[in-house]
Amino acid sequence: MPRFGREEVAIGIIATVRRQLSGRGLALRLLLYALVWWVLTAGDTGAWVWGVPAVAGAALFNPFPANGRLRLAPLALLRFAQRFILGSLTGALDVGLRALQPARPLSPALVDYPWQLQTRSARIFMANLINLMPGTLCVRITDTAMSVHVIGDAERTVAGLAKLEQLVADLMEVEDHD
Amino acid sequence: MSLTDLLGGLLVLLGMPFFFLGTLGLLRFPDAYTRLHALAKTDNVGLGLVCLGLALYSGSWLTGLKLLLIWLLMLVASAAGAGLIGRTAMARGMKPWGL
Amino acid sequence: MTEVFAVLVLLLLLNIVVGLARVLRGPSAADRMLASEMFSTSAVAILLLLAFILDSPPLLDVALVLALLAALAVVTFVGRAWSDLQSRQSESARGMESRESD
Repeated sequence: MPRFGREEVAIGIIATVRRQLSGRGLALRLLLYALVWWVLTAGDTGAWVWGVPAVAGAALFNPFPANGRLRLAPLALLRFAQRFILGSLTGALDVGLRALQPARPLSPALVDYPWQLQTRSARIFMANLINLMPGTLCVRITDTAMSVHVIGDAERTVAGLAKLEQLVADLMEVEDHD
Repeated sequence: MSLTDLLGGLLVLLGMPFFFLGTLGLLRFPDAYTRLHALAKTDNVGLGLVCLGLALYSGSWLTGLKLLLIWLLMLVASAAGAGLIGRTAMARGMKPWGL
Repeated sequence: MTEVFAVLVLLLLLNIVVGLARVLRGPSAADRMLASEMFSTSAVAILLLLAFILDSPPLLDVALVLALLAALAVVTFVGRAWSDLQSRQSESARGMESRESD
């Protein structure tokens, strides 16, 4: 990750705060946190006495970096969710079958996978995501690549990673780089 | 017993083998990396099926959403946890088995 | 149906007991930690089932908090406990041992 000077950090923080107090992001967070509160309290109307300040406070102090905000892309989210569920299932079955077989077939390999993703948050999301996907485990993250511990066919696994990375890019990479 | 109850119970049952497969991998696989593979993948599918089944069984949207929230939290916990353990083990020079 | 769930709770408990073998055998701190990750996932599933067996919705909140704590537990372990252990024993040497023990 590139290192920033102190001034750049200060400017970044000011821009972040300004952006967070304005517009769609704040409204979205208010809506999302209100939904979470509603679910947590199981629809108890009395709990909103605490809920309103809690939701407002949480929405104002946003811990997420501004460049990592989710685009509101329902279609991309849907495609991602479908892929995630399918990947989880095949991953679990794959590793489960390996554990079941007496010979315990594992052919571990370390593969360097160069990043296509640009933003830091998307990369971290991807690195953690692949731990749940078939045959992959992220064991190192650098500026240019991640090292992936693979069990099974390395070539096929890397092809799967490329497809997954595209889905993550559709979901998380923002168009405006400022 | 309604149809959704039955389907819910069935999904919960379907989730159980994944827990056992994960534990089997945990006991049988040769090193920490391969064990991480086994656990991170199987247990979350198991928990996902249990949550989905119980959501159907409860017949309530609110309970279903709460179960979804619990599953998502656990997903984040184990994906991040597996990555953290894997990366730290590698940074400390723990050698993967078979390489 | 709740009778079936009760049996499943017992099976999950058994699952945890079997998993304890990995904690006992190790060989590295990482192995013990990932076994305890398995415990938290199973424990969450047990709590969810109990919430329906006992018809007690608050247990869902207990499961939720446990899921939150599971994340913190791993981070704390890697951040603190593992580094302490590291100063006393060489992790890579232990990793080699695991190759032979299986």
